[in-house]
Amino acid sequence: MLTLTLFGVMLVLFVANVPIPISLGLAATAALLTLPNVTLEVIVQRMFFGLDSFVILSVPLFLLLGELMEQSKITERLVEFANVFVGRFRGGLGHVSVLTEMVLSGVSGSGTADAAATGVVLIPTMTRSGYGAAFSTALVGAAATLGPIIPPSIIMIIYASIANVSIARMFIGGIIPGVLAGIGLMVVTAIMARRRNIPAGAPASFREMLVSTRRASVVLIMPLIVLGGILGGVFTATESAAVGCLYALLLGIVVYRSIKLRELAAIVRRAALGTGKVMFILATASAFSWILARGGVPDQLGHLPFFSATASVWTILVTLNVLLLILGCLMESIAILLIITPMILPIALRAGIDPIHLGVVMSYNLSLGLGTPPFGSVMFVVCGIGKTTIADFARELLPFLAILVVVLGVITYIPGSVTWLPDLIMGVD
Amino acid sequence: MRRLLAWADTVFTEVAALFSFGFLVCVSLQVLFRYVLEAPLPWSEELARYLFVWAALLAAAVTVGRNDNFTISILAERLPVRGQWALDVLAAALGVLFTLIVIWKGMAMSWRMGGALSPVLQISQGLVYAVIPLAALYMLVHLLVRCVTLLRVGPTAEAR
Repeated sequence: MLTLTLFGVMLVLFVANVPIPISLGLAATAALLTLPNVTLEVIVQRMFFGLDSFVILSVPLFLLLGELMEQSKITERLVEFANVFVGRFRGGLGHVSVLTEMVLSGVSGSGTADAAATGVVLIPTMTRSGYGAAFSTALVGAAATLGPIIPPSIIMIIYASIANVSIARMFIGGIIPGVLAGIGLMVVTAIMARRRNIPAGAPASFREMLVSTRRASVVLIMPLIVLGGILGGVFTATESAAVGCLYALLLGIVVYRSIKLRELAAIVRRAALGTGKVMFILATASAFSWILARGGVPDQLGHLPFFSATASVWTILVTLNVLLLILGCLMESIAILLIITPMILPIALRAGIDPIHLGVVMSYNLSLGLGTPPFGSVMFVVCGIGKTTIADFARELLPFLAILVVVLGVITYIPGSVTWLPDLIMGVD
Repeated sequence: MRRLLAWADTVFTEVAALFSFGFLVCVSLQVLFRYVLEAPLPWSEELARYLFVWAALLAAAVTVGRNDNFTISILAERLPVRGQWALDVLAAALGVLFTLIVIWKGMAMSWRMGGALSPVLQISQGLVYAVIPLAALYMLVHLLVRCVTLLRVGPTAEAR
């Protein structure tokens, strides 16, 4: 009865275009009314406790860091740096976008900010150099989906806080999948560049390499501070996000003077509103998932054929992947994560799936939804910059999406591709 | 009414931004005091968390006021204008229902916890919880105005 009410109300409200956070809150309220002797105050309590967490506090700080990096125009230096090394190859600017996104992803926790920062610089340049607007837009969009896979990652932080696993382990677990995806994108870029006869850029001299490395070095040490701090146990994820913000402020205001103090207020305001949007979902979703657990929904789900005790690990993981890919086309990825994780985690643990493996696979899968129609937020950002229609974008995205899905298959099938590195660095848990 | 709502939008946004900057400062000070001055701050984490909860919920209220929340519009997009209008009215009305519950229960909780003090800063917990009914009240006013406006204008394209 509780399960039926909870999901029935949620689905009806979702379809009726009621905002996701309000749908979750009302579904939780309705489900709570089916239980005897429970006060509705639980809803409000859970909303508060969902937010009142030092770990979740890292999410707004990483969102702010993304905004700061986008505004401080440090991307241009990264682009120049990558260009002197890989620009000489056919489709060089394509490789430059993938590499730039990978470095940016190593600092910021969200894909949309990275996409905006890279897109503004690279999409016009690539279009001028004969890559075609739609192709350039699709490539930058595909590369930006690496954002939530390569640490730090907001999606991984939220997963770690629900699943109660180490954030550092999740982050290290994302490194190999992120690098694999990056290599995959570069291979596809090389093939497409050959097929379309896209010219190579002029080779750079050794001197130019030195100069641009030096120019980019202040930016390149950012991932070392932000990631190194977390992985080395110097900072918590939250502290490292704050330190990253300070460093970005230092670069933007003092070193490059690309952020004026007046603009700073607008940047903080924008980050705060972005936070509010996500946190409203997180608040009502924590009421939702409390009732879900209270009502024993994971137990009931564990009796379904695909998730039962006799189902193999692969059946569970493949079903989950397909489910997430479909859901990723319907709703926002953090909302999916918040609803699905509490349900799937007990089933996965019972089947002997490593929670780090599960979390990285889920984060990777959900990040694909950022770049794909119809709701991908990265897609809207890059299509806006590249002045490309969603249809053209989607057509050019296909080969890139295909390789990203292949990598998803690999990391799903080989748990070691995720868990080997964290076990190596932090010891077997 | 419109001017009042616009004014409230500005106030809520600015306070949310100010508190966001506040928790950035708190967390930064925490690192500075631990590593540079080697005297860890006892209050930084608690204050940062409370500033964050306030900032997040005030900003959430603003996004509801601006009708800028994630939805699943897959069906709504395919409906004729009249159907979309009906769904908009329904969404606003259900929002009113939810915010009323949150205000009612949120005030009860705030009131009950009014005497309890936070562990480090010794602030009244009720004061911290008060952001929930406050944000919900802001949402309620906006949703009511939206509901009334939609009903008055009727199912035309302009209503959206």
